[in-house]
Amino acid sequence: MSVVRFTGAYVWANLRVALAYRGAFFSAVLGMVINDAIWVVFWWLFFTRFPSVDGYGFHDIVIVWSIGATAFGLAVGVAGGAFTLASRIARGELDFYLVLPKPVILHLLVSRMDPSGWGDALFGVVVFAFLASPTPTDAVTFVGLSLVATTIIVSYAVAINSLAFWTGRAETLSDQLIFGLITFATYPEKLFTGAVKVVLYTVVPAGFVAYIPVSLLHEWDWGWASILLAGTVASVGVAVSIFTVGLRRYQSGNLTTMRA
Amino acid sequence: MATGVRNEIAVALVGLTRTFKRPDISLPLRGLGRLWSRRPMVEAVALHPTTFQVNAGESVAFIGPNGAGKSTTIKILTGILHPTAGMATVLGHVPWLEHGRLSREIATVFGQKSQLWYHLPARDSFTLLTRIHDLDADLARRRAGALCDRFGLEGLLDRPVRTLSLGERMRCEVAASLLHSPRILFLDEPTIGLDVIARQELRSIIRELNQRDGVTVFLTSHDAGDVERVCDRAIVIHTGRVAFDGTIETLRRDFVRRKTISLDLSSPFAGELPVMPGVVPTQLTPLRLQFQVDTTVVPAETVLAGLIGRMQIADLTITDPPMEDVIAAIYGQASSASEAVP
Repeated sequence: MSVVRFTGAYVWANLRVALAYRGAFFSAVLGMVINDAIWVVFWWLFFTRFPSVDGYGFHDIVIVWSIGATAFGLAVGVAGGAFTLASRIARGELDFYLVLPKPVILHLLVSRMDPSGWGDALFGVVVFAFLASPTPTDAVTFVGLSLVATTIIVSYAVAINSLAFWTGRAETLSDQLIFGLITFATYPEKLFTGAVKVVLYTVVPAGFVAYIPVSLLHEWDWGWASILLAGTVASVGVAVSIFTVGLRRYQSGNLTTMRA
Repeated sequence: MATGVRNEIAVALVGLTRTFKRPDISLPLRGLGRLWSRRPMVEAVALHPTTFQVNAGESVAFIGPNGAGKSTTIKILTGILHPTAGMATVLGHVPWLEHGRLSREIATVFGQKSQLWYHLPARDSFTLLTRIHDLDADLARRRAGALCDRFGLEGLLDRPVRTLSLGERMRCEVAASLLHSPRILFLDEPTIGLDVIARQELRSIIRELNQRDGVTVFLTSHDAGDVERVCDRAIVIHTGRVAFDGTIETLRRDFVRRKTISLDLSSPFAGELPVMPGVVPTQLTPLRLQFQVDTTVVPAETVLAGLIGRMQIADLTITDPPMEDVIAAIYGQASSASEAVP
């Protein structure tokens, strides 16, 4: 319970910081909504011309984008620190969190947020509500699957950003891999086969972030649900292990910093 | 609550060491090989084996030149860094293994790193720290109120931190770090960048915390005033070793073996001064004479014996060198020692 209150306090503080510059906050949110909408319009035009790609239609794209945008939005909007971890490690900025109670990784995750994430999340929920024609059961499933996908995205970001403990800098690599994850997660699974598919369930886990959740939303299957759950637990375990082992190599730093 | 030094070990270090690997830059890499070749790694020492202990209630200055290992020591003692060898305990906890428990009993103030949220009022950071430390909301509110009164933060807590002066911000920083009533306060260059008034205010706050509340203070600073006005004991570290461990008075008296002898005369002196090795006149006016005496060359008593009787003395003072000179001498020794190393 104290972890929930603690996370809530951080989220509230982050929101207060964002709202201190309301214009910047709302323009970031609106900008992201427009950006996402352009993609959905693109797919709508595409499927107007080609109604089905190997059985994949506009409705599937709507669900992919709903879950993908909601999960990614929540990840950067609540746990945005996961995506800036590499640069903070490289700059020796972990000191402050290392002298506080509660797990360091938790502090690092929730101590930063990207306001544009709220635009993503808002877009995902609105698109799902208005274009996916959900039943109440679908809505509950959507929320659950979005949270699972959020957990995997955050874990993935932590794992690859923690490489900075060994490489010194990992910002570029982590940005590229996160971008790759988003890209693959927003395209139909059926476009990918063979080795690429293996990659999409391991190195760039778009399969767990989008493909399995989308198939579960179409038709619930306990087998796939178990695989998704196992993948989620494994991704959290791998992320925490890499971070914990890496933390022993932390070098600190003497950079003058302010918390912003 | 008046408190003093207690017979309880607050901080103990035994052979605490920290080394790290760095590329050997003495080996040049030439041509395109620079792009992919890796230099061999060599071991560098951030902290040589260091041993000392601090009792609860003490106020200790941990001083030494840049690169001596001061910040590294504080970072190991607060659980930020892992040591390479040796052992340390802080209030009975091994910092890098029992970080969770220790963090509820200690606080840190880094002059160059802020714990306050830059765009929010300090009060919001206080609220967040209340959650982080799992403090009872009412208790935290009362505690914040008391700290606010004591540190003169009225009117400051509700202003965004970015609008505060550096001195006001540092007062808020210290208050924030005390919200959970820590037993040890680690301060790393707390007065860096502050003006004279703000420095004095912060020093008296830290001094009062130690004297009135019995909070153990462990401070590193390059500022002689911080050392002199806040601490009772100094541990000097240079060239990786503890070079001095004693009271501030002893440090000033013994580390620099130089005294200043000042003589105010009741009638003008026009005679010949005796020439003594180790004695340098620094002020010679008809009614006032001042000498610097190197006591490793000649004892102060011998100098006095040579002067008394030659002039009519109205007043005589023998002073130790100012702390600033002591610290400069310590740093000077350190740099000449490091230059001597091949």
